[in-house]
Amino acid sequence: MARDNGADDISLKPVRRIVVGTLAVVLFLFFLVWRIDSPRVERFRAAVIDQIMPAFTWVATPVTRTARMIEDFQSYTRIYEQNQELRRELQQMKAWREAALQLEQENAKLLDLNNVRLDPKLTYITGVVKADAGSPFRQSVILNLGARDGIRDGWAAMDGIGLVGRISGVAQKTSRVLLLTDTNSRIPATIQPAGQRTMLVGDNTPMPILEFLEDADLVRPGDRVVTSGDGGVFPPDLLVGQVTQSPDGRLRIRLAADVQHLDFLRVLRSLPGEGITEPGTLVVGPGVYESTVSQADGALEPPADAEAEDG
Amino acid sequence: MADAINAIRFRGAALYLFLALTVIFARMLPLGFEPGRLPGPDILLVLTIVWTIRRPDDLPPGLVAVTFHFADLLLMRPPGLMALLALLGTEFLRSRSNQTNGAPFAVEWLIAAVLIAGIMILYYLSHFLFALPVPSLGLYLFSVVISAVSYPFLTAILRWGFGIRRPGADEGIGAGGQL
Repeated sequence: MARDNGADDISLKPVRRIVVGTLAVVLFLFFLVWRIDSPRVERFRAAVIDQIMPAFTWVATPVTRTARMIEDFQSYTRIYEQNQELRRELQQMKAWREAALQLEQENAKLLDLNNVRLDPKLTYITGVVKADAGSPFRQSVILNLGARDGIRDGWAAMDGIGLVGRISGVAQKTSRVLLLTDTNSRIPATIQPAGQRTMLVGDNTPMPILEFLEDADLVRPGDRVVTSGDGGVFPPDLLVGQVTQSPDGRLRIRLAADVQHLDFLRVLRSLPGEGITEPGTLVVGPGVYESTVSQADGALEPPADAEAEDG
Repeated sequence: MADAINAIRFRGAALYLFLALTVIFARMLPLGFEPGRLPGPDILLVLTIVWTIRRPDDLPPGLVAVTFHFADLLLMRPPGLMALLALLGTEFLRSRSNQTNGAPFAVEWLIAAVLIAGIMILYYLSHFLFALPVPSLGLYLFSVVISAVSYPFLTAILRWGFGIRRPGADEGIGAGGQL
């Protein structure tokens, strides 16, 4: 027995080395391919997660529920303070409610006066947060919405109140939301009363930094921050949060969304606005403009054709 | 006899796979999003190191590579990098297994701690080498230290919870207790 084992070991050693070497080379090549052609491998990753997610949901749901129940139970211990706090907040809210009602009426009147049509394309899909990135160095969550629900890369995700992040990576049944707090997140934004343009830069803390401010003196803590829609990244005027100043003197943003407890997220369907590249396209549609130009240039097409195109 | 040994090895590998999947899924639970919180230990790595020292025969290198690659994919890490480092680390440990075999626990812990720190620091440095976004150094060093510190705790849990002991310590099957 002993001799057999020993002989086995000796004869197996080179084989083992070859196996380990091959594995190492394969892993390194996979990493290199990811580094060179990241989108393709990320799609592969999304597909893997897509396959795992049903099984994961079975495991995760009871555990998550139990953990949330324990969390809720712990909150009983400070129920009195909470009650007081809620009363105070309710008092303030009543005042705000009055203000909101008045503003709503005024707004309705003004919209009516202007005969404004709100953009009907800005609808949303609501999804459930299924998992997070599982690392303190990466901030992203997985939603149970995917390509089959029409989700596309780059769309904005909000909780009930404010912006949370954007879709980055879509698989068939799941998609990943890169949170604003991730170090890879860069969002163009506007600071409300001053109209200052800025960039929200995530740095893995609860409050992203405001960078590239033109004039920091015009910005005060407490100002509202909304998306600016620059670069076509997001639809404009989505609420993000409030300006605040961290102890080290930097301007940061306190997010309106409750990033600690994400449960349901809304993904806004935003279709790209029509770009105006040439002066003529502003007045008539791009197709019409081109056909008139080609007619003027060549003047060969019969007019019946042009009419058929228009129709 | 050989069948019995194979069955036990297979059971050990299955237990490792089960524990590894539990660790990965537990980290993915949508509970703590709070950014900037202190990172915990890299339990999967420490678990693998404990296993390599205690039951090297149960853990084929392919299993380590596949498990870590799966974790890389799910946890949004650069795919393949941690798997490669873990594979090389465990192989290095295996080649030194005659040194860890009879050593007192303090020495074993020291070797494991150095290996864990080495793997994690190499991982961090390769982020620089391949121009990837680098996690913040302070938090990362904290997680290196806490991973090294968590080694005896995981050893204890595996020993008394799942019966993962050193080969040839007292139960006979493993590297050659019965010879």
